[in-house]
Amino acid sequence: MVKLTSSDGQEFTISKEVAYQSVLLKNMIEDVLDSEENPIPLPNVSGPILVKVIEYATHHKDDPVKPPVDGPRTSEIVDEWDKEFMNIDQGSLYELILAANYLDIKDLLDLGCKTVANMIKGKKVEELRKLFNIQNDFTPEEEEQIKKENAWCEEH
Amino acid sequence: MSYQYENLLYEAKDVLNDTRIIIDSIINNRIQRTDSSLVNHIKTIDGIINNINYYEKTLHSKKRIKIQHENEVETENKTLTTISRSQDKSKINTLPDEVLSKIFKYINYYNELSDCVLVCKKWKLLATPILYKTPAIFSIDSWTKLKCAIDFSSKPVKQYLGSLIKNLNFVRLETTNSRSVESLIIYLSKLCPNIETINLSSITLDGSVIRKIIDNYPNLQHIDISINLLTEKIINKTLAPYIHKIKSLHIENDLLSNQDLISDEEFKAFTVRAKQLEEIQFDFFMSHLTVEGFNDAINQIPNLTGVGIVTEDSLNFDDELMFSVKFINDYVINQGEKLTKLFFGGSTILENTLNLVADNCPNLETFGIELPSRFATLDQNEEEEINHDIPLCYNAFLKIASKCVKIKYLEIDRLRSEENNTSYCDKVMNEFFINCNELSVLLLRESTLSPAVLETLNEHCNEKLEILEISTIDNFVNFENFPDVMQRVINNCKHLRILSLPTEDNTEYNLPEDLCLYEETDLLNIWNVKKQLSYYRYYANMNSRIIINDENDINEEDENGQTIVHRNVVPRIAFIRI
Repeated sequence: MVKLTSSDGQEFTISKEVAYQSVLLKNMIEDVLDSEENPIPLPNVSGPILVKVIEYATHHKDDPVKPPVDGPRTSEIVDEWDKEFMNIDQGSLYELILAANYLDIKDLLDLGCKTVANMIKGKKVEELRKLFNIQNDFTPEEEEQIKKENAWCEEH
Repeated sequence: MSYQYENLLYEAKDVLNDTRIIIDSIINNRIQRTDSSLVNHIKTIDGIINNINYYEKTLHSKKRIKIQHENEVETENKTLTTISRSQDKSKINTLPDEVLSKIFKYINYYNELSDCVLVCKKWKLLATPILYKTPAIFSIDSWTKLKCAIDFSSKPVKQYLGSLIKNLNFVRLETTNSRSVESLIIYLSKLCPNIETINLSSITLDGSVIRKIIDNYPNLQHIDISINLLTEKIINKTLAPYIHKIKSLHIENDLLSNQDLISDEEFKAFTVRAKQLEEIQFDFFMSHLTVEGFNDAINQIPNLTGVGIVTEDSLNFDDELMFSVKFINDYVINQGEKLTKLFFGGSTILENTLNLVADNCPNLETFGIELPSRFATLDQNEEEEINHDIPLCYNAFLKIASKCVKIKYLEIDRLRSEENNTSYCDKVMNEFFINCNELSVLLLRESTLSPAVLETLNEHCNEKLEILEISTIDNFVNFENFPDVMQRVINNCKHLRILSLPTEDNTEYNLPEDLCLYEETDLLNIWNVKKQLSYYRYYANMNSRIIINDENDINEEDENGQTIVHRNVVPRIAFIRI
């Protein structure tokens, strides 16, 4: 078993098998002999998010190692469990992605990125700004310039 | 952040240099105060100041967020039990740059990605390189727009955008004007110094033009020039120095000038350097090469995984045909395990060859065969060939279907049987469907089939099938008469994106939104391909999944209140960057 401490001081005990989904934890556990006694501090991951991460890692612990996919990237999420799992608010989604990035859990990071990509797809510029609450920091002239630059994209 | 600063510094330095020159020119009265370039220059300066301000602002706000975050942790921390703690939506831009880039890489439509570029400066910075890396656009017009966007920008932008382009992909270009393609490619070579790959596999160009293109791109690592039927002469005289950069090669017999044919030694000297050659096709090949010399040469190509042979649809066992048959038999025996793509056209195929394929090519992913209208067997003990009106290859086909189970792209033309008895062909196809679990493209034309085949297809291939084209001989068995079966296939194959049925089939199928229905001929037009160059190979080459983005449907309600979707429009097929 492995002990983890979240940024807000909560302690979690998980099996090595689950912990090994994270490359970061795997390396840490292999470096430190008594991770069962001394909890590994995770200052970048809050308790609630860590719960989510553990839920994911537990669900996928028996997955076979996937061969690297050649060719096209598609943002389609096939696994229904994954789809349901990502049904969370935006703030948590970003925190989860940050945690996956920090802990180096590739599949969870991919899943998070796909989820955001699916939010982006099919939306116009204004809708995107609104959805993600992003300020337009271009001048109208700059905007014109970019539109002109990328006019070749319009046929698709 | 630092590389962005570096870029900015670089830009600023350029502008300062230009400014110096301009001021100098004004002092010496070389340019007028009313000169329009001055206004443009001020705009450029404004742009850079803007960018500097932006970076400063984001830097400060980053610091602020950090401080804020530290405070948050102290005050709120233990009260949170649910994950929905953060209501701050703008957090997307606090994700690390590499994560945002990863997200943008999942946006497959150019127009969607170009919308991302317009959202804010940060997105522009991250999405632009992804947008420009591999442009693959349909029309010369759009290519010209791309060219102009780069060419007419201010110097730093021009250099920046030009440097982003790594691959040129002309696979889906809709043009017959090879001249304009040629000049476009040559022009782009001046703007885009970093280009590593060029895919010209759907444009017919002259050998000397191909050479000129390769000459102009110093950093080119490989070029795909399939479709360009090149004669031995051109390959030997013009392209030999570049063979190491060429990814696919189609060689044709130069029927008119039977000169300058390659000798065994020349061909060997050529292939020994063909390190990147993956695919080779011979059309109506006639040569001075010996089968042994030819095979020795071909065996030297380390990465060859695709071979195509097209011969005339004739029953005469002339030298050409004999050469092809012997060559392919030897090749399949020696190198079959490496082969992932195999294409036969004309009457190259004898049962013996198909048996060899079944025994030696377990890794085939793409298999295309255009069967002749009549079949021949060759009995070596007899002087004369024996002609048969019906195929004799069922057993060989059955064997392929049971052994080459990795096949994803299957194209068969004219799988026929005696007196319109469908049971043989049905059996062959059933065997393919049951064994080839990865089958995603099936093109089955003018064959003697019964609707029962569709039942098996439906049962075994419903998970992977993306493209289906099916037509039967002389409409003997017309699926039109069995609309239920076809409808079940449509309903059941979740990933089916393109369906092509014979023109005679006028059934109004109930189509899901993301499925496009074509008549046979339309499908050929989409890929802009000549008949002899079967388009399954384009699909294989595209290395992409088909996503249809068809916004121009006309919806109508029929008398039962059901919505019928008419699809008259050529769909947009998203290019997925490789």
